[in-house]
Amino acid sequence: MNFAAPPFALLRGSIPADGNGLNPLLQYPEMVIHPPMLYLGYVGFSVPFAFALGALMMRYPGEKWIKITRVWTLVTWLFLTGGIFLGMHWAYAVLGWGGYWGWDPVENASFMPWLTGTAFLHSVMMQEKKGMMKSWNVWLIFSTFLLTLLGTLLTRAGLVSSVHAFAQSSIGTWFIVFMAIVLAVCIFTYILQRDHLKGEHRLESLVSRESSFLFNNLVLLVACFVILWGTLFPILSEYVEGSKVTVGAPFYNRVAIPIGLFLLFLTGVGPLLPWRSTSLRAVRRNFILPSIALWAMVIVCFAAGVRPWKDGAFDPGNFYAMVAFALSASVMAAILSEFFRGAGVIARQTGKNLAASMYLLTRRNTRRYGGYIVHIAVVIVVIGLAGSAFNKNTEQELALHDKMSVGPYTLECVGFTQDSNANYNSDYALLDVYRNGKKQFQMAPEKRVYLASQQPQTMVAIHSVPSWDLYVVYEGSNPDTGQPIIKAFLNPLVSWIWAGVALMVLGTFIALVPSLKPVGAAARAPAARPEHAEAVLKGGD
Amino acid sequence: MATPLRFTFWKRTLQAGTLAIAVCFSLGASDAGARYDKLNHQMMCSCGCGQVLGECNHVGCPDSPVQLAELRTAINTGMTDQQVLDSFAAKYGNTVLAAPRTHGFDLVAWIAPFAVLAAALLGTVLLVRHWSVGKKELAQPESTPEMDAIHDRIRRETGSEGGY
Repeated sequence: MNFAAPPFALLRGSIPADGNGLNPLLQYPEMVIHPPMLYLGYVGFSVPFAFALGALMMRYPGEKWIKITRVWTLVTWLFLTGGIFLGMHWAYAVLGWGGYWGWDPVENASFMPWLTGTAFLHSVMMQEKKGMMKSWNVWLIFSTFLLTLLGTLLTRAGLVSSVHAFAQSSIGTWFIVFMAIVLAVCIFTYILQRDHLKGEHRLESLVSRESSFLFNNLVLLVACFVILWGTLFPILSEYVEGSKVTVGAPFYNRVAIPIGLFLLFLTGVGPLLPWRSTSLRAVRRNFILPSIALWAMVIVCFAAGVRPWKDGAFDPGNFYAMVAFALSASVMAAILSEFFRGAGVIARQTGKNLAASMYLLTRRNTRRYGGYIVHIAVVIVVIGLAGSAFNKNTEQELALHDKMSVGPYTLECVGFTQDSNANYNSDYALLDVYRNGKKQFQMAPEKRVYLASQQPQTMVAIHSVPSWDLYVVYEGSNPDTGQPIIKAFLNPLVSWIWAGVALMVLGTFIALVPSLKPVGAAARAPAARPEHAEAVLKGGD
Repeated sequence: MATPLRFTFWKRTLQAGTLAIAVCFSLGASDAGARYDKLNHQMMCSCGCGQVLGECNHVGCPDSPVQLAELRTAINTGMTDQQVLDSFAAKYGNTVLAAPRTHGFDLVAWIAPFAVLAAALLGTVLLVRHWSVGKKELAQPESTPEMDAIHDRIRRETGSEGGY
C-alpha cells in the first residue's frame, strides 16, 4: 500500500485552494456507514479464515474453530449484508435511475463473498450436528476469504469497467500475487492435512434435511459462480476473441433469477424435512400447507392480473414475479407452520398462550428461530425485488401548472426555480401530488452542480408507502424554455426490501443471543423424563 | 391397475404443462412501444457511464439521445430485433450489447452457468445415492423398546418426524 498506491501522495496538476471537495455522489448520509460496513464485512472474514487454516495446520480436533468463530462470522455476515443493502439504498436514492442493483462488477464483488459466507453459515451446522462436510466447510471459508480479496482487487485495480471507477489504482498485480500465495497455502495445507477432515457420517437419503443443506449450499455456490463468470467473462472474451463484450443486467436477469428462485424453493423445503431420512408419507404431510399456499398465491396472482403473458406475448418479468410471489407464500407458510407447531407444543406443555409460547420457543433455540426470522426476511426482500417487474415510468417537460400522471398519481408543477449556496447551484421543481383528485403531498426533485468539482448531482424526491414508491427525478431543464423535465417512476414494493433488511438484522441479532437454559422446564417436568426426549421437546438440537 | 392410470395422468399433466410453457415462451412481442422498451434495455449507453441505454439519465449525455433516436428509426424501418442489435453492434462495437450474443464464443457465457448447475446437481444426487446404498449395507443399530417408545413420544408431542 505504501509503495504501490500511497494514500497520502500529493495530487498533481492545478488544485482549488480548498481542494476538489468530496465526490458529490458520496455526499449522502448513508455513505458515512456504507463503506465501513462493507469493509468490516470483507476483513471480518479473515478471522474465521485464519482459525480454519490454523486449525487445519495444527490438526485441532473437532469443530472447535467453528464454535469459537461462530459469533464473529455471523456479525461479519451481518456487516456485509448491511453494507450491500446500504449500497443498494444509496444507488436508489442518489443515482436517480429508478433502480437499486445494476449488476456492476463492484456490486457483484461484494455479493460473491456474501453468497459463499451464507453457504458457510448453513453448512457449519452440518459439521456441528453431524460431523459432516468438514472439507467443504474449510473450502467454503477459504473461498469466502479469497472472494473478499477478489472484491478488493476488482474495486481497486480496474480490471473490469465499473461505475466505481473512483477507487481505481495500480495495486492490481500486488493483489493477484497475494491471492496466488493465499490460494497456494490453502491448497498445500489441505493436501497435507486432508485425512484430518474425514466426515464422521455420510448422507443417508436424498430426502432429508442434510441433503437440503447440501443442495442449498450447492445452489448458493452455483449462484456465486454465475456472478463470478458474468463479471470475468469480458476479460475471458477479450483474451479468446480479442474484443470485449458487456455482461449486463439482461444476462443476470435470465441466468441468476431462475437460480435465485430455485434457492428460494430450497429455503422453504429445508425446514420441512427431518434429519437423516423419512418416509414419503411424512414428506407429503409436511408439504400440504406450503403447497396450498403456493397454489392459492398463483390464483391470487391471476385474479390480480399478474400473468405470465402480456398483450398476447410471454412476459418473463411477470412470469418470474408470479413464481417469486407463489414461492414466497409457500416458504412463508412452511416457516410459520414450524413456528406455530413448536409454539403449540410449548403451549400444551406449559399452559401459556400462543404469543408467549412463541417467544419462549424462540428464546429456547435462538439460533434456529433467529435463522427462521432471517429466512422470513429473505422472503420479504424477494417480494420487494419481484415488484420491480411492474415498474412504470413517464417523462415530461412541465410548464407552470402542467400535469403528468404515473399510476394513480397526478403531478402538477406549481413552481420551478434556482438556488445557490457556497457549495452548489441547484435547479428544482415544486410538484403537488394528487390522488383521486385530492392533493396528497408536495415533492421537490432537485438537480445540483457542485462548484468545486463542477459535477452534477441528482437529488431524487421519493414518497414511499408499503405498496409502492413514487420516485421523481429532475432530469434537467429545456435550454430553450427553461422549463423542468421531470421523470416520474412508480416502483412497486420497494419498501419491502428495506423492511426485509431490518428484519434480517433483527433475526441475526436473535440468533446471536444465547439460548435460554431450560431450568424452569426441567423443574416442572414429571420425574425421570428421558434426556433425549427432553432436548427435542425444548426445541433443542 | 390404479398405479399405471395414475402414472399416465401425471405424465399427461406434465406434458400439457410443458407444452403450455413452451407456447408461452414462443410468443413474441409485436407492439412497437414494447419493442422499443425491450430493445433499449438490451443495449448500453455508449458514453461510458455503464448504464443500460433505456436507463441512462445523465444531464446532457451526448450519446443516449442519439442512440435512442436511431433505435426508433430502426424499428420504424421494419428491421427485426436481431437486425437492430446487429446494426448497433456494427456501428458501436460489441460492447453496446448489454449481454453476450447467443452464437460463437459468446454462447459459452450462456451455457456454462446452467451446465455447472446441472453437473453439480447430478453429481450430488449420484454421490448421495452412492452413500445411501453403502449405508444400507452396514448393520443397523439395534433398536430397543425403550428407545422406540421415546421416539414415538417425541414424534407425537412435536407433531413431526424428528425436527432439529
